Amino acid sequence: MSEVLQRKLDRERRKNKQLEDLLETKTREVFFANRKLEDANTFLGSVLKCMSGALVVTNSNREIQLVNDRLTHLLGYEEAELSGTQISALFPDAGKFTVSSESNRVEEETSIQTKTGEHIPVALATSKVQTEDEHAGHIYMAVDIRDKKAAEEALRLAQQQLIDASREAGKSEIAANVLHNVGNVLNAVNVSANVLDGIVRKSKVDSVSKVAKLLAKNSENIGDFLQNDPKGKKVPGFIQALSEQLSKEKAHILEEIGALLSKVDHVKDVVRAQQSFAKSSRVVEYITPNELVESALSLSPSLSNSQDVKIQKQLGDSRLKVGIDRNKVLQVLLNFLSNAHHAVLDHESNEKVITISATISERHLNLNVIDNGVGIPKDNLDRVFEHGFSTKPEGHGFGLHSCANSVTELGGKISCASEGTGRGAKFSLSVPYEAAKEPATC
Amino acid sequence: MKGVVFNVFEDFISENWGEEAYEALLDACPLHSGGVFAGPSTYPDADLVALLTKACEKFDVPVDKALRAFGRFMFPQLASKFPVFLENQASAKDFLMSVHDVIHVEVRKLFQDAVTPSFTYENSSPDCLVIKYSSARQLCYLMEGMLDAVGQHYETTINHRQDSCMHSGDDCCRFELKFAA
Repeated sequence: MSEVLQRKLDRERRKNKQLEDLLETKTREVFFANRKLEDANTFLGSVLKCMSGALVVTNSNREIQLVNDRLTHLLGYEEAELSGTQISALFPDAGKFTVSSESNRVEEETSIQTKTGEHIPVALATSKVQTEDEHAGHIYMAVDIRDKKAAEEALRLAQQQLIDASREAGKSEIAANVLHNVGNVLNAVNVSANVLDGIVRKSKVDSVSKVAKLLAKNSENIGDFLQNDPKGKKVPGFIQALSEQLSKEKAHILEEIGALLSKVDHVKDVVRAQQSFAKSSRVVEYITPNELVESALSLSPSLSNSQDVKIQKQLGDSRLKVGIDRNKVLQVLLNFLSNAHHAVLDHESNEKVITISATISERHLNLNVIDNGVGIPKDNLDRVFEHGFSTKPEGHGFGLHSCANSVTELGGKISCASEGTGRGAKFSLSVPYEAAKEPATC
Repeated sequence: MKGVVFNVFEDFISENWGEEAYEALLDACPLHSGGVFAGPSTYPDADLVALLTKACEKFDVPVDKALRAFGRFMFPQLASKFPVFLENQASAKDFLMSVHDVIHVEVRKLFQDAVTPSFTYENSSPDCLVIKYSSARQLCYLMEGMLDAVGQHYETTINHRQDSCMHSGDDCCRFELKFAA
């Protein structure tokens, strides 16, 4: 063997020895790395099992790669059934949630679909999985919020009941106050009435009739009768005494009537005072314009269920809640809708359309009800809100007048426009609102 | 420097000047490693510099020319040892653009002590590419040779021009590449 070959062989042996040492070192490292990996896997498995939320991990194509037990139990799937499935099968709205690169996370309330098609409300947190510079997928963490939703609904109902109860309690309190105060005055009125009754019962006024009959009976010789007859001679004195008595009675009656009128005035004052108190007690509720319109329509079943009338809704930002006296505004809207309904039914048009618009501008809630009904003659436009004005045979002219009063109390404006008979009408309401502290979540 | 580079260097010398020449180089150079290089292990850069410098002296070849020749020799060797890095790259340009973000990343995952150069790219048009090479080893001549070899592998011509160089005090070596259709 040549020297070169021998040296090369010797180098190869030493190289092999180095490789064997390296292999042994690497094998040991791999063994410990495997043990660490197994421990990490076991730990990860325990974490996934113990998580209270349902976990889904997808790849960059939004195909499901990993789910935890909580998710499979919640939805009724086997893990294998979900592997490789598009995330949209579970979260139909998941594609809407864009995770920005800045926040790397988005939280929303949405619903998750079970194997049987049931939708369960969940709070969903979506995060990006980022490996170095690469987007590797998403992590979805969903927490079942059915209990929370039920509690929220119960709370909402309780609040509504509380508002209704406070409103009714307020009304009852006002009524009780009125009855109490008026009752007190009525006692005094009763006393005055009894006094007047006593005066009238004891009155000597009947004696006038007796004297008149006596004088009529002796009318033919009235002079002789008054001068010579024992009864006749007493008549002038009796009339004198009777006159004085009747004057006293009159004074007494006038005095009592004065007292009575004063007490009636007091009753008026009591009622007026309670009315002004009732007007000043507003109950502000936070509601979206959309909810207000829907409430009005649900309270107008003859209109909302009508096959003949087409209802168009033009609603603005349905998420914004405004603080208003819901009942008063609703009362006005109901009047508008009722008038519009009659107007379109009375008009012989092919298509009967009522348009309801609700917008918000400059801290005012603006409601418009537009119909293509019988319209309003120009001469009547200025009078529609007057007390007692009505063009309907059965109308009393109170509804729109009451609306105008309510809107004035709310610090708003009410108006009416029409291009004339047969050309429809537009009734508008604009009231200031109190802004909610934060937008509603939908 | 990884042992695999030394192994390829041994083959490069043996094929061009014979095995005796390589043994003579080992005898002439005092190496930290003792001259035994296992592919996955890491050895001082100075050992390769010493071997290369001695070879240039011994065979009277300029260093830049030797490095270019070594680059042309090394690429097909590495390509046959690690074909996985070429499998998904359809063209020479695709391959070169994967060097920094794929190959060097994988090398650092496999060998945590590996020191890889930095490549940045300017991809201005389909048949052009600018590569800015930056490394403490300053092996731009080796890179030139490897560029030629990449072209040969993909059966295309890569015309390259270097308009800045770390040897001249620049921050990086800038290569303008034009790929023949």
